[in-house]
Amino acid sequence: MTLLAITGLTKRFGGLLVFDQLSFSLGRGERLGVVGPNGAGKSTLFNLISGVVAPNSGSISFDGSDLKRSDAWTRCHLGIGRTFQIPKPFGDMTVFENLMVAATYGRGLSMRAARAHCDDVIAQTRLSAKAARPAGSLMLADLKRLELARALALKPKLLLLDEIAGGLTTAECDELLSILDSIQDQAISVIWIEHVVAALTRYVTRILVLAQGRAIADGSPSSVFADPKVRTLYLGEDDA
Amino acid sequence: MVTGWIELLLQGVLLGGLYALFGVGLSLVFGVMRLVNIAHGDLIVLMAYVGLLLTDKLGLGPFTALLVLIPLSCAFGFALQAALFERILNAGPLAPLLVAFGLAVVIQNSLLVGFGADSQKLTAGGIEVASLSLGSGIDVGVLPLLTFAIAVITIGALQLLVYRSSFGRLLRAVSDDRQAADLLGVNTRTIYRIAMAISMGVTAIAAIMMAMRANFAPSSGPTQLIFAFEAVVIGGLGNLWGTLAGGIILGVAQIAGAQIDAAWQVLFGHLAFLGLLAVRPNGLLQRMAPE
Repeated sequence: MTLLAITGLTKRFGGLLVFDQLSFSLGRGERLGVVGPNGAGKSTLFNLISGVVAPNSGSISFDGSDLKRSDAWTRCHLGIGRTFQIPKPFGDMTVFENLMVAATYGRGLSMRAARAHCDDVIAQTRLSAKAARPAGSLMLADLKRLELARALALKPKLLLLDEIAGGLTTAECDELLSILDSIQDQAISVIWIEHVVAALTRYVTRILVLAQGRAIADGSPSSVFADPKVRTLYLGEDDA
Repeated sequence: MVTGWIELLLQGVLLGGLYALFGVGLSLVFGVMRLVNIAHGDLIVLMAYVGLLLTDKLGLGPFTALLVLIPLSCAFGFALQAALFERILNAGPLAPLLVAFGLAVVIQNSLLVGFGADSQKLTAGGIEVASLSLGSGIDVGVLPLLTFAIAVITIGALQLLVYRSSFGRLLRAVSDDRQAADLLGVNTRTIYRIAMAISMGVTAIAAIMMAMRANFAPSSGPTQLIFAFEAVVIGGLGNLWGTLAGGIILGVAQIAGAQIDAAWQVLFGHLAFLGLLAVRPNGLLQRMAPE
């Protein structure tokens, strides 16, 4: 059961070719990690999927519908939720209100249903103690969890996590992983871009390695990191 | 002597209500979509002329005309955003300014062709000259008092809308970070259109109150724009009650200047604006904190 299918995706920024005929697909409930060197286009991939930028060619289909002409908010309504690498909270609003924006307008829940759902998500992401605090006053680890909570408030089918473990301490990272594990039963598919590979491999079942606009490896974490091409890329090992 | 000064102070405060009405529409559009609408003054004058048509040609009273004008003006704002501003909001900082400036020129010249250069006034059947005695020999005009009351009600209603309603939460989200709101499923284009519609609804109120109070001509817009700007900036950007405070300061300064010489009225307002800006560069009141 394919949820997301990316076919022949090409994206240029001026003379810079970010993606050259990239293709991959994601099944329902699958957890995919995306790694690659800086500038490999990882964040651009999320921008293309969520509709922030348009591809030069190629197609993205989600849950059976072609996303070519869809605006970002439409894609959100279809079930794509994302977090930002640099948190983008609505700083003047409380944590709870941040979630309400997503639950009411993003998901179209009634006020009552939205409140109940946001309460659940806040408990799940362990933000209960901070629910009434202005989002602008949170520290990084809480902001990252707010990003996750806001995306979950959308009840997404596909969750795009953009370096959500970046900058966290080991303890904070462990807590994040246990939160992510607690949502596994909701049949949400996840694509997670991360530099913190140790955290990533504890969660995902499949890893895609991007370099020079292409997928150079795609498979289980152990097979991907055993791949000579990947080892060369990451560790600078020679084939010899 | 003292009662004379109290009366002047009251006049200034009440005049501030009008300037606050000028300012809140401008402030709302800037706050939500970061658009500096330099056609705002001309839009006020345009709506004043539409109000004039409603009263003169259709024979409506000024307040009946206002009830007709508000929805018309809202629809116009919605259309203006959809047809014009939304096409250029992402085209860098200069394009929206130029487009608003062009719109101002088009409005001014269209009004000149349609109505001629003579100044006009909306007749309100006597309330523009009626006054109310507050005792101790202090009299205030009924129209300024009414304008002030309408300004307070309008700002109070907007405040509730922005900070207490679920739609207001959306406005604040879009204002804070459009991209994040987009990706949380908020149709920001529609929100912008509605924000412009609300701004033009308030503009209609400002236009009728202005048109009953003073003469206006096709070239009056830029002056109203300056007053609107000053009220907003004195009060602190993004603070609606601050805009009322800013309007009041501007009004009091102008009335004080007028006592020295009629020609000093506007100058004194500008001086008060510059003086306050030197002391409080961010305006009197800070952006509203979450409640």
